[in-house]
Amino acid sequence: MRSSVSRLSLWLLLTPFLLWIVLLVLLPHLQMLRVSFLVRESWDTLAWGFEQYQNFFTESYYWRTFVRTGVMSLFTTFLTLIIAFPIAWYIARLARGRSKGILFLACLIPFWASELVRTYGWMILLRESGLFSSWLQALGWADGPVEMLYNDVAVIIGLVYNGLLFMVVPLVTTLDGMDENLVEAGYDLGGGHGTVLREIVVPWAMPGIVSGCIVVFMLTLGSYLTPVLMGGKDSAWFTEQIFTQFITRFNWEQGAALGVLLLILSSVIVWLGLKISGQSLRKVMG
Amino acid sequence: MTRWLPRTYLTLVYILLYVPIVVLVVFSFNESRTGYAWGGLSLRWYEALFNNRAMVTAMWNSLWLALSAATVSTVIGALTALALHRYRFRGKKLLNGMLFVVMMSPEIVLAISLLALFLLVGLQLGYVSLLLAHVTFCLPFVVITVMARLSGFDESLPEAARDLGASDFTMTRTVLIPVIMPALLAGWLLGFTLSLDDVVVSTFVSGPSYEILPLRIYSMVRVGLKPEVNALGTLLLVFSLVMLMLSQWILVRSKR
Repeated sequence: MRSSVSRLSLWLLLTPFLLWIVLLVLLPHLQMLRVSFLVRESWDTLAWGFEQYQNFFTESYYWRTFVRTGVMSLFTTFLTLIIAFPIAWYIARLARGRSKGILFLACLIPFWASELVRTYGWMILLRESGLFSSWLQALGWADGPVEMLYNDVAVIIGLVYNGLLFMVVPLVTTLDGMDENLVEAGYDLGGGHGTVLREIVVPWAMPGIVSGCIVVFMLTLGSYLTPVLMGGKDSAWFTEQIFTQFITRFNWEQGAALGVLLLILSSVIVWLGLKISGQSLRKVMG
Repeated sequence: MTRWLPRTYLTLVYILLYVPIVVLVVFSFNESRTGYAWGGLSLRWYEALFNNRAMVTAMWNSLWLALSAATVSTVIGALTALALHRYRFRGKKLLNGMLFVVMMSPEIVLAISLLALFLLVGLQLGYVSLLLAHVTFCLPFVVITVMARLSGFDESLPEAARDLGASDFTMTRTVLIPVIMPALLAGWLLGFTLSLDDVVVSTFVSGPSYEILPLRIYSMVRVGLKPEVNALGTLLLVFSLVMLMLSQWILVRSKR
């Protein structure tokens, strides 16, 4: 009796969630998968086939864009790690008491603004008629307006900015739990800064590093607003192609296939990263 | 090691973190139309905003959408978190995993899959499709916020309530709900902000019948940089900041 009552209440509690998973997560993804295997033979007849996937590998524009997006995302992730590590180290190991909390919060607040607002802020700074350009001219370092927007550097600045917090938080968490004696022992045994960092700190912080990198990489690879707004029309980001196929060209079959490929390829890259770093997803994501 | 090096680095990074946001806010009060020269303090862009009927409509639409999306996700999220916390059952790990997969997977994939489904079942794009989509990406965040709260919850409390003769229902009402209330509020505020800020998913699943604010801002930003956008961005920023600070404050205060 007791157990059947608790079964019932479990079902009652869980039903809305299961409906959500089935109707709004599984079904849409299955439909996307189905559409991606359709081939348009004429304007009103569709057949099954792999043509959309073949297009990805045969039309160099598609896979080149993907490779470019992937490489730039990896670079962005690496750069974010390099920039975030000292900040996390300072917050976790050097800051004490009140200032620790304040520094952490101060790092958090800019990320409460939406991606659109943050990106727009950078556009005000970097565009031709923007602040940086006018400062350069006022200082006499440039003769005319300088366009700093709409290039790869601008895109990477925007992406690193968007990813920073997601790198800092896991790093602070792991570095916080590190025993001070470990570092001291390293120095006592004659290790220099480089050795201690390489042999003690980095191995200890590895779960945090990997988890930060995965989140930043996925965020970067799947981002749409930042590359489009800061990279301009030619930023050639993979998500942009999905958008173009769906919205501009009404070629849903191709767009769906590109979406499926984005999911698969990003999972493969994350999986490879886990293998190479010798971490497991469960350990990394807590 | 020298002490000034880490401090300088930290200061520099923090300045860069705040510059884009501060500039946006400052220039929203700029009388001049240009993006680099200061023409005096003015509220003209805010005035222009509120005199624009379509803009005000989009604002109300956005607020209503965020309110409903946050409420629906909080109700479902609370039930789910309770189920995941209180019961052990087969497939529980899988459900937990699904939450993370949905949170991590690219927004645009979620957007096109939902669009594909909505069109398949013939759902008119508008308020309902937006609501369903927003609930979809808000829900995992709410569930995780509430679960985090429950994981620090003293299991002996519900036991004590039961030993004292309380029914499951009474126990839930008098013990469990008060305990998770702060997390519910925090989750609601988080969902509200996520919904209010979303551009990518909304671009795909909205129709001309229901215009919302972020999409208007986005199209304005794409066409060219208008000073009204500074004002609009500032409003959106202040709104998100207030909501999220409130949610953090509720969580921190309840821990004491």
